[in-house]
Amino acid sequence: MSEPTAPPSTPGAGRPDDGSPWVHVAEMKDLARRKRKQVEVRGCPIALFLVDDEVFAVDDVCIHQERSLAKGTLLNGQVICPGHQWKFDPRTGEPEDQDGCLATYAVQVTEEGAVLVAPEPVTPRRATSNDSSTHPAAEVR
Amino acid sequence: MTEQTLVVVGAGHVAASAARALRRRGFAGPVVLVGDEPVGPYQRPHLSKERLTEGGDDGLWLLDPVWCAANDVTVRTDSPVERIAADTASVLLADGTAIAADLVVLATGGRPRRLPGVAGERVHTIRTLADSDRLRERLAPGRRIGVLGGGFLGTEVAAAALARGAEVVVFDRDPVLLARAMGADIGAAVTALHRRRGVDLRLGRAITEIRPGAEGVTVATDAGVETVDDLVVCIGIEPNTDVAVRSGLVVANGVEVDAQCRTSLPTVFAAGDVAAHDHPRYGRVRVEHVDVAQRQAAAIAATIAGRPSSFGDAHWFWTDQYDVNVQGLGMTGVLPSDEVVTRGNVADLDGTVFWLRDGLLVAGASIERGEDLSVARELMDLEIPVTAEKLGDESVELEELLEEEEVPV
Repeated sequence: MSEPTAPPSTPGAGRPDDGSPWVHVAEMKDLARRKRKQVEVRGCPIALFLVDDEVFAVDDVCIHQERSLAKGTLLNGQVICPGHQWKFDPRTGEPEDQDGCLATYAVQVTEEGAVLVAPEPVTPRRATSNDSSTHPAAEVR
Repeated sequence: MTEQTLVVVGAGHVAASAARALRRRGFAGPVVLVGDEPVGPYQRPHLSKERLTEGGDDGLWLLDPVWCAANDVTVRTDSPVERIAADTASVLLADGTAIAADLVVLATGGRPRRLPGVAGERVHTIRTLADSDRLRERLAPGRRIGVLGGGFLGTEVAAAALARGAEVVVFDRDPVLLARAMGADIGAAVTALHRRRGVDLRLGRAITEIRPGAEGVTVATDAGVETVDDLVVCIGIEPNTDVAVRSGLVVANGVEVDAQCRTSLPTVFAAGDVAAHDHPRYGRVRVEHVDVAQRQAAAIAATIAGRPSSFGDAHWFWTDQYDVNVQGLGMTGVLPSDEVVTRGNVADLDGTVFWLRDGLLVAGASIERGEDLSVARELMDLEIPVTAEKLGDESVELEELLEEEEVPV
């Protein structure tokens, strides 16, 4: 764990209100290729996703059937869970066409490329009422 | 202009998905879901998984009564339908009453295929909640359960029976479980998985006789006779086309519908297990997977709400057996001449099989690698050329293949 040596350079990533320290979880270069990484913050698995040069952090464990989202796929800015193809917006933690939500966490990236995550969620995890394996019907184009 | 009333005949996944999608898209008229079971729409996949293993109704119900009341969605249970009378814009029920129906979605599903003379207290099929609940009581330690058919339903029932402490013996004339649906390699991996878990597999032998009796059901193959306490018959379904036939719709292997899921009557659509869909990629095909039913329902709802839509997605399905997740994408389109490429290690339950034709991806099937199929869907939809070498090379990230897309002109 280390404290940031520079102010946040990621737009929109605010410091958590409770003043808890940022946790240094990864380097930007870790995200360069696969654009996703599972990290742990105080024992809690969190998935990092790199979308349009911005890093987002959400619960790693899917709200549906507890698969790892960092093992999933990042396509067109959406995270697709490998378990049953549920789609999530990593910016908000919201699934497409389902209820429930992944917790989201504040992220900052230092000038040296260190990725820092705040341990307390910005928005909370909410369970889904759909615990079945059914894939959500995608919006018809 | 008065609002139109839409009736869904059959209160299952299509009904629930259509009702939700219609409201999301702003369809304003009353929506009535008519089913012949005593309960409203529920998760049918649970019947051979969660519900069969544990009972309970967590996540079982597809529609919340409060949402239905607030959205003018009415569920009519215990209401068998006689026929659709499109000329008078109504649906006639078996009890002689009629309900107004300017638009109809026919989603009568299917019924389990049975074997002549194989019936009685010890013989089971699974299609309804009542079927699943009845069978669960029989899945107990000390009982020997026979499963006839090693397809999706049969293998899920075997896993559930084992989880409840019963002994299980699976009979199939094919030598490998799931091979017809998933290909030989994944079939072999799933077969080995069931064998390791302790399922007694009697594969590759034709059944010569099944005799239900007071003390058990005897199943004879040319390898001998086996007696089980209960026999679960999992040999597929027949589409419920009776209502369609009585309504004058064109019916062959299911109710024939076009790409938009419209039947031979312009105000009547059909979807789900009963619909023989004219799929833009695959031609006419009737598919028995819940995701297909839901996507067809969503396309119908979009069309009815004023945005004509076809269902043209690659068919996707999954099965969960023990703690292993298996998925298939586009398997409808596989030809024997397609090139088969394996990524990862299927036998170790961590791999994907791809099918390639003329440099394009046609289908994929995964064990514990659903993420590969997310990318596969994109590669297929965008028709991005791929090579067997790269697909099979784990040092190549599949997403990188997406970046080789040519810029559209």
